[in-house]
Amino acid sequence: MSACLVSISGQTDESTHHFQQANQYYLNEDYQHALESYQQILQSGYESAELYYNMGNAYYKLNKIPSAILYYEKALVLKPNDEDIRFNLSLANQLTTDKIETLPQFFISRWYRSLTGLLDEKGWSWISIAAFLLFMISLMFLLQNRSYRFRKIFFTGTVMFFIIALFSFTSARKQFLRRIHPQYAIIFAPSITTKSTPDEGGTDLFILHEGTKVHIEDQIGNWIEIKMADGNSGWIPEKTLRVI
Amino acid sequence: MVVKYIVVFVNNLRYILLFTLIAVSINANQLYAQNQVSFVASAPSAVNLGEVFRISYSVNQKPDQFNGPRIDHFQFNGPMLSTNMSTQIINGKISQSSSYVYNYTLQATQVGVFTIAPAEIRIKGKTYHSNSLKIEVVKSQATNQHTNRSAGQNNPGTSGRQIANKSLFARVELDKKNVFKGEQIIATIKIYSQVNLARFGDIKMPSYSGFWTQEIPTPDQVSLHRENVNGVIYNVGTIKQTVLVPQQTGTLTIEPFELECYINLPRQRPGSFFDDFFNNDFFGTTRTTIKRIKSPEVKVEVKPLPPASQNFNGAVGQLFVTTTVDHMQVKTNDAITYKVIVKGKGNLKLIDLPPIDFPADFEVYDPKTTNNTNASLQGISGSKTFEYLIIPRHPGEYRIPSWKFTYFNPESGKYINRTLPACKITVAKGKDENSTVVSGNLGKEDIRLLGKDIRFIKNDSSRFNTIGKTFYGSALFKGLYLSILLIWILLFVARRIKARRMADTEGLKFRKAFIIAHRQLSRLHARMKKGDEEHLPESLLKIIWKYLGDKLNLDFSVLEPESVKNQLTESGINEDEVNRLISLIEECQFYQYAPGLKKADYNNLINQTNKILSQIDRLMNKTK
Repeated sequence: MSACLVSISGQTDESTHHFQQANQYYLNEDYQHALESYQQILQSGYESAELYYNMGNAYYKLNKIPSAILYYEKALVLKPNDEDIRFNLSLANQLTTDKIETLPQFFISRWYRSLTGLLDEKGWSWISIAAFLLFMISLMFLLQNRSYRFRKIFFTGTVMFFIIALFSFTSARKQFLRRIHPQYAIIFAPSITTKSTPDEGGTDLFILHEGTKVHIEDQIGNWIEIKMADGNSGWIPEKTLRVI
Repeated sequence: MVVKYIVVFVNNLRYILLFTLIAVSINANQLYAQNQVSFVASAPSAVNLGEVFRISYSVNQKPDQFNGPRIDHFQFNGPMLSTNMSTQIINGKISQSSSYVYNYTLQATQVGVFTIAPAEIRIKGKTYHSNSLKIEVVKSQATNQHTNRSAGQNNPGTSGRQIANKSLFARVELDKKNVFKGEQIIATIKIYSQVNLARFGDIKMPSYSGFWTQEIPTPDQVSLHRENVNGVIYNVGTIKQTVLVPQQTGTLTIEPFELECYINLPRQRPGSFFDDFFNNDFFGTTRTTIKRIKSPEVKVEVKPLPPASQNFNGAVGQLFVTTTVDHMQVKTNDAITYKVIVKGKGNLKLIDLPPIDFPADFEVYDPKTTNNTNASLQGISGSKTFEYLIIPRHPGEYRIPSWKFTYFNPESGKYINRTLPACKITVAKGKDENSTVVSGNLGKEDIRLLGKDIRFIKNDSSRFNTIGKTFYGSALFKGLYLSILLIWILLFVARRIKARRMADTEGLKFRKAFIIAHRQLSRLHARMKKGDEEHLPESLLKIIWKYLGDKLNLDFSVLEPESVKNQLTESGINEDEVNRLISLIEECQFYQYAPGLKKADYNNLINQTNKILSQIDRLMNKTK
C-alpha cells in the first residue's frame, strides 16, 4: 500500500517538474518547447485544468487558434467555472471565422446547465455522498420518532436531502460523461462543406471554418453528424475535427 | 532500260499534260494582259415580248474584222459601229483609251430563254471571241416600258400623273414565316419598278414591334437588277436587310414600309419628230411625279418553344460553350477570372447564363459581358463572353461544380444541353488573414474584448489527475455509498430488535403487575401484623402507583389521579371501577397526612386495595 502511494507521488513529481519546466519556456516566449514539455505530461497519462489552460495559451501565442480553443475547452471540462479559462476562450473565439448565433434556450434548461457547471464530477460526487448520508440519517429519525412534531421536521428533511442527493448524483454523472465520452468537438479543417448525407455526393449544406465548436450527434463509418449552436446539422468527414 | 523510261513517261502523262495546259493558259492570259484586248458583249437579261432592245459588243482596240453572231428568234438590225477615243493626262501621265462598239437592235418575237453565241473579232491577225448572251423573253401584261431612245416610241397607258401600282411597289420579304420564338428571320425590303426612278424621298421603316432587330450592313447606293416576277420584268433594288428575332408568340404583323419615289415621266404631247427628239432626259423636258408606295403587311407565325428544363435561359440557335479559369491555385483574397464563352449562330445578344454555383465562401461580382457579334445574310453570329470575377476569402479546397447550358435549336426543334466541366480550386492561406476576420459582425460584448491579450498561465501543479480516471464511478465512490447503506441497515435492524425487546419487557411488566402488587400487599400485611405500621398509606400508594405504572406502561413517578382516570377509561375500564380506585387513592392520600388510623382500618384498606386491583387487573387483561 505504501509503496503504491510512493510511486504515485513519484509520478506526479515528475509531472510537476515538466510542468514547471514548460512554464519556464513559456515565460521565455519559447512556446514551441513549452508545448513539447506539456505534451510529455499528457503522454505520461496526467492531466489537469491548469495544464490544458497553459497549453491553450501557448497555442494562442503561436496563432494556432483551433488548437487553442480545443485545449481551453478541455480545461473547462475539468474546471467549469474558472474565470481565466472562460476569458481566454472568449478571446480565442473572437478570431474564428464562423459567428454562430446560439438558439435561445428555455430558461430552465439554461439555469440547469449553469448549475451543473458549477462543479466538476469530483465535487458533485462528494456532495451526493454527503447528501445521501444525511438523507439516511434523517430517514432513521423519521422512522424512529413517534412524536408528531418531530415527524414533520424529519419528513421535510428527508425529502430535501433526497432531492439534493439525486440532483448532485445526476450532475456528477453529467460531468463524468463530459470527460469520458466527449460530446463536443472543434473543427480543424480550414474550411469544410457539410453534406446532407454521409457521402461525398450529398447536397452541400453550409460551410464551417476552423475553430468552430460543434456537437457530435452520430457516426457512420468515417462520417460524423454534427450539430451547431444555431440548430443546423450536417455530415462531415471524421478527419476534419478533433474531440474535446 | 529505255522501256522503263517510256513507261514512267506514259504514266505521268496526264500530269504533264495538265501542267502544260496550265502554263499555256497562263501565258495566254499574259498575252491578253500584255495586249489588253477586251471584247465584251452586253445585253439585258430579260425582256418583254415585242420589246425593242439593244445588244452591244465592245472592244478596246481597233479591229481588223468583226464577225457578228448568228441571231435567231429575234428580229434585228445592225451591226452599227460607234467609236470613241479619249486621252487622259493625269499627273503627267498620258493614257489613251479607245472603244469600238458594235450595236445591234433586237426585238423579241418569241417567248423563251435564248442564247446568242459569241461574236468573233480579229485584231492584228489574232482572233478573239466575246462572251455569249442569255436573254429571257417574257410575255408581259405590263403596259409601261422603258423608253427606247433610238426608236422614240411613246408609252401608251401612262395617263397623266397616275402610275399603276403594278409598275411600282415595295415588298418586305422574309426568309421564314413560321418560326419558333427566338429564331432568327432575315427581312429584306425590296422595291420593284418598271418606271424611271429619279430619287427617293421620305422613308418610313416598319417598326418590327414584337421583334428584336439588328441591321445587316447594306451599301448606301441602291443598285437595281432585273428580275422576273410572275412573268413580268421588273427592276429590283434592295433597300435594307434586317435580322428579326421574335420575342412574343402568336401571329405577329410587320407593318408596311413606306417610301416616297420621284419618277421621271416623258411629256404627254402628241408629238412631231422634234418633240420626240426633245422628249428625253438629255434636254430636261421630262416631268417628275411623286408616288408614295407602301408594302403590304406581312404576317409571321411565331410558335412557342416546347416546355423547357430549368436552366433554359432563352438561347436559340446553334451554339457552343466553353469555360476557362485563369488560376486554380491561389491565396486568399487573390482574384480569379472565370470566363464563359458562347459561340455560334443565334440570338447571342439576348442570351443570359443560368446562375453558376460558385462556392459559398467566394465573393462573386456581377459578370462583365462582351458582345462580339455581327449580322449577315445568315443571321447573327459571333460570340458573347461573360467574365466573372471571384475572390476566395478563406483557405481550403473548393469546387466549382459542373453546370449545364441549355439552348433550343430551331432547325431540329429540340433542346440541346452542353455540360461545362467542374473545376477544383485550392486556396492557400494568404498573409494578414486574421485582420479580415476581425472586421466581421461584432456584438457589444465582442467589441469589449477587442485588443485585449490573454490572461497569464497558471502555476498550480497540485491538481494532476490521471487521464481517464474519475472519482465518480470509482471504487471509493461506490464503496462510500455502499457502506452508508450497510451501516444504516445495521442500525435499523438493531433498533427493531431493541424495540421488540422493549415491547417484550412491557408485556412482562403488564402480566406481572398484579402478582407483584399482591405480593407486596401480603408483605405489607405481614409487616402490619408485626406491628410495623409506619407509612402504611404511603406504602399502599406506592403499590397502587407501581401497579398502574406497570399495567399502563407509564412512568409512575409522574402519575396523578386525573391522568390515571383518563388512561384507565381509555383502556376500557368502566366508570364505577375507576371511581372506586380514585376514591381509594384519595383515601390513602388523606390518611397519609392525617394520622390516627386503627389497625382494623389498615386491614380493611389492604383488603380493599387487593380487591380493587384484582378487579381492574381482570378487566384490563380482558381488554388487552
